[in-house]
Amino acid sequence: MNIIDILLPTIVFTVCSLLTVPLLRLVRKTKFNPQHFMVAWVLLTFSAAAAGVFRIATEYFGQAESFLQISSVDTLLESMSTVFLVDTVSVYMVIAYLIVGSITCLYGVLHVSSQENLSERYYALMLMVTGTVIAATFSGDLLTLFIFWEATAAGSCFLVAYKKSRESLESALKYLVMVIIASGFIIYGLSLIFGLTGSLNFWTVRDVLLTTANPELLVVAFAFIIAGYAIETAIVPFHMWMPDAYTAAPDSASAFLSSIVDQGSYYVLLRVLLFILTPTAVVDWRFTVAIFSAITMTAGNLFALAQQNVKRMISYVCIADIGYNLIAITSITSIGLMGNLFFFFVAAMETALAFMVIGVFRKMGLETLDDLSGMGRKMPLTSVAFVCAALSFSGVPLFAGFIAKYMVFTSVLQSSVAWLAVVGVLNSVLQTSYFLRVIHYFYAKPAKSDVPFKEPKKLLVPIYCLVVIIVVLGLYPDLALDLLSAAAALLPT
Amino acid sequence: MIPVEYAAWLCWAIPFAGSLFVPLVAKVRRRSVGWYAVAVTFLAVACTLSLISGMLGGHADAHVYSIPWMPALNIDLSVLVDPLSVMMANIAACIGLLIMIYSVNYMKKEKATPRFFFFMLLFIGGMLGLVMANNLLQMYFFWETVGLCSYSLIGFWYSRDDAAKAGMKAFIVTRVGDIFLLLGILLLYVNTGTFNFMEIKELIAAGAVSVPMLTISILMLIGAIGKSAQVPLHVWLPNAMEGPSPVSALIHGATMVKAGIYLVARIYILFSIVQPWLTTITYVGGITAFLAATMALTSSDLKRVLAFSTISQLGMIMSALGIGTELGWFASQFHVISHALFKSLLFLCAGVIMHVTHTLDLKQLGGLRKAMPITFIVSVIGAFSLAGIPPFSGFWSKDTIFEAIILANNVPLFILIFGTSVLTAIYSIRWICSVFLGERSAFLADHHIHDPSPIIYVPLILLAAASCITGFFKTPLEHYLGVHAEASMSGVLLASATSAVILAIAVPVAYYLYYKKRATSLFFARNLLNNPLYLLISNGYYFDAVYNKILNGVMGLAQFTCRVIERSGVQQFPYVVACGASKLAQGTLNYIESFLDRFVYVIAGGAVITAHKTHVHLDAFLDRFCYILAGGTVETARVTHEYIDSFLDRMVYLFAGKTVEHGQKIKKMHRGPLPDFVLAAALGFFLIVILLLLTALR
Repeated sequence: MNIIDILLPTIVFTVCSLLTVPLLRLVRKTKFNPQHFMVAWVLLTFSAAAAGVFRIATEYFGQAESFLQISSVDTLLESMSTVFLVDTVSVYMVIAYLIVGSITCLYGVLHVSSQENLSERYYALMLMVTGTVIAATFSGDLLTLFIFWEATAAGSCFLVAYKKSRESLESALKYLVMVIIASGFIIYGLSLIFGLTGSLNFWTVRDVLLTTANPELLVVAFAFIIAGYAIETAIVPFHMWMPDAYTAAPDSASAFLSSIVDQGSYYVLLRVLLFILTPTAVVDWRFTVAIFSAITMTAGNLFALAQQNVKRMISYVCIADIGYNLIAITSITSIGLMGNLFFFFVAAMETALAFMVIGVFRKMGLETLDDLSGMGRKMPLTSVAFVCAALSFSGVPLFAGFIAKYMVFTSVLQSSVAWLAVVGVLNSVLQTSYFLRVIHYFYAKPAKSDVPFKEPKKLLVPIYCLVVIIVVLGLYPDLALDLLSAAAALLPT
Repeated sequence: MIPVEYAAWLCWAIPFAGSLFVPLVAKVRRRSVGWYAVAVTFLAVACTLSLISGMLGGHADAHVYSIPWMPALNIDLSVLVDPLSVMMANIAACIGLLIMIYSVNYMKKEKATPRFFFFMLLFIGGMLGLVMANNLLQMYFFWETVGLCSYSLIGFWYSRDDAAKAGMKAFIVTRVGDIFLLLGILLLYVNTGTFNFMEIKELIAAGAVSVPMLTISILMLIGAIGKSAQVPLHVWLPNAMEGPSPVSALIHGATMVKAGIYLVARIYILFSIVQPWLTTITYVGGITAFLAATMALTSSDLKRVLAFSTISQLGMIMSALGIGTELGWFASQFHVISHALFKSLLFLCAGVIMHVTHTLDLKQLGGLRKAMPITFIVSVIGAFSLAGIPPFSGFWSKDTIFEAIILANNVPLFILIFGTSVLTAIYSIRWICSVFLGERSAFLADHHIHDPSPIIYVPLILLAAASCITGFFKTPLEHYLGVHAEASMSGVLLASATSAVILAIAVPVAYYLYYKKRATSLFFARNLLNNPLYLLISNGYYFDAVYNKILNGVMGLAQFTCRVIERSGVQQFPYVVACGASKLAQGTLNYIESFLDRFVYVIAGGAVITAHKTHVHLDAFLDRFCYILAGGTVETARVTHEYIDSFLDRMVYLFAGKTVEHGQKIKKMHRGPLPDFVLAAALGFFLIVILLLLTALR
């Protein structure tokens, strides 16, 4: 396998995204329905990329080694060259992106009207960002990872700013400034790492760090890198850009960002912490991350409880989810890794589902909890989808969220920071209570007006795709866990 | 007759699958939904009944049937067929069937019957799945299913605010317990690597569990306490009365609250060696029994009396489980059966009474004996069974509980249960007196009161008949459950004597207080109603008030922290830090307001001073930054534009113009100022560094 093979999905996305603008403009001039065209185009792009990923996966699973390393230069300069990495974790993540990404992109196409001016740029950006996230996931050295990750962040910024309203421009600018600060932190940390190890290649870095003579310097480098990625993943107190950005972004962009970019950023954090900077014998970061996990969960849930605007509430739920993810990362156990990866996928679907449903309501001008009173009876199908997301978030069995939480909590009980499980469990109760409050508004409160609402049939298709996946994975999690058990074996000791 | 290995799966799979078709049936023929649900439940009953035969064949040991479910985690989907699970399954299915038949007629005027029957079927299926489950995780799945169904059924009339709130309360309160149960299950799993009851038992015996058994067992007990409505998590059950009567009957008689008892009875084999655990169960149960009995005595609501009585009876069952002897375990299961029978009977009766009188207030009821003879007779049987009057089943099972307590020589528990039984007898007679005896009240004068239709009273009569005869099946049941309790003559005699004393105290008291109504007007009205004790009891010992305070506290905390941290906290912080420094710099920097500004100012030095002079009116760093950048760019762009009219210049010009425009927009509308974000991130970074320095290096 060479470097072109591995970049193929990204190339497909990039090329298709560049073609989107001229093609859609052409189609608008003909009699052809641009929305139909875009649906076909998104499906085509995703299936082409899926074919590429399928090829990588078959090649990877067909061989004996536990990972594939592909570099652009041979032998001599290998430790300095761009490297890509294929292992179960990255293959799994990319599959997850493709599934959730195709659904959210379709939703985006159906939600943002294709007649709207500039909508073609919006679609193009979505495809572009998916491509860069995939490349970041496959990357095998810290610099490549950084570059593709920054590309993702830049694309996301424009998605947030798409509406060009005051709020969206303001929050996009905030997001951009925070991302730039984050990259400053990361670059500084990387330079220290490079100084310590002479390479940025995952394996070289890890091997050298295990025997490093300078753990103090490593602590500094670690602090900078983690602070940088903490801003990008929105760990409390680095989170403040996130509620603003997700609330101000177009609804479909929130769904897309929370499912793809957010999960991508968790993956990056996981990869950096567990696989690269992991030597806990050298630097024991577990307690630090555990503290941040507790703060993030609690703050996310408490703030979500205090929100009246439902979309903002869901953004805070995204933050709380990061806390749950950190729990599992802290444990450094195989079940924790499996739980993490499963949680990424499930959380991506849950938040996407919640944002998509909220998007349907917001299209009708309903934003706050009060506005949603009585919607359960007026738009039963849409509301039921939200109830599914809420129950999955709160970790009720029959939904995939339960299995994810179960694995996360089990893993932490096995580790040295078992008190985190108690914090997590109490947070679950908190989460149940505010989701029940939303459900209460949906069904128990009288509707505000007698205006009948029509359920948007088209938008319900992607929404229900997600509902089905969540329920199926909740009943039969083995579909995903099967792939993950191989990943657990990869965990470095 | 269905083979056991299929029946054990089908008994819960049929209601589950059947519930999915309810909407379809409702589309085809709406009126048939009820009978469809009855038919599905009947199939489930056929399955559970055919399980019994396998148990009676003399080899009463457990059978396990399993299929792989999550091989990656080594978790199987499996069912356990043993006397206990088969017994509970039969209670749930049979009583469920009778309640279903009753509901067909009872609910026929409701609009949302499909929803009702959907959740009822799911409820029964969930309970059956729960008792048949062979591993804790699978059990937890059904445990939550039952909780979800109870939420939607209690809140069935969701347009009534009380009902919706009651449903939420039930779900949240039981979920508090559930979470602890889950924690206990996970701790067991982490230590043993399996969820399987039998495997865990062996591993515990082999000493494989390093965490104190007490912690695990108490965590799991909290789950049972939530589900079975024991003190202090009992508060949801009285409110659960907001649901339709069949739902109450199902929750109290057959499904939900029995799940907690079943859990304790099931994990009893794992933890019966942990003495403090048993003691906790005993006293939680005993205290619950007594407190709830006093509350039942003071309540004046037709259904609430029964609800408090359920809490009290479950407390008795729990305390019997906690005694720790084989007889105590048996006594509790025996009482589970009789309680299931008489309590569902009483609730269905209450439903009938409510249907014809449209009131739940005991003070407005009275004198229904003549108008509703059948209801009267079956209610009396139910109430007598509850009161422990021979020969009804309640008498025998309560007698067995006393026998177990006496043989265990537990004096404090004896006193608690003795008091409870006296109160139970008094309030059950009070219930009967105030509903059926005496004169018809003025309120009922213009109601047409009549017995219900046969579809409704046939289940009642069946339940009453079962309540009459079940008491005599004590020995076969003992044999069936494989309990070999030593027959002790003195125990039996003492227990019978206790029962006699209880009745000797309770019946005259109740007779005078409620039948003759001697004391009500004088004694109660003047003294008791203003008595602090009465106030304490009738307010449910202020459990609800305290919980509300806690909830309001959390909500307040959330809003407070959100306000402080999200909006003002980070803004305030730099002011505090910078206060001292700003005094020094005041002469030159008196218009600078934020910490970050000053930071930039120091770095930027003279260059910034000039910028400040031109932009005195701007007060935030960001805006000023935009202006400097944009102003400069605009200037250059304009000058260049005049000379070279090229595409690129126009781009720059456009960009610059836009920047100024948006800069102004941003200035007008601040959500959370960007400097705060940066500052928060800086604080976070310092936190990381401090924590790492403290903990990372060894």
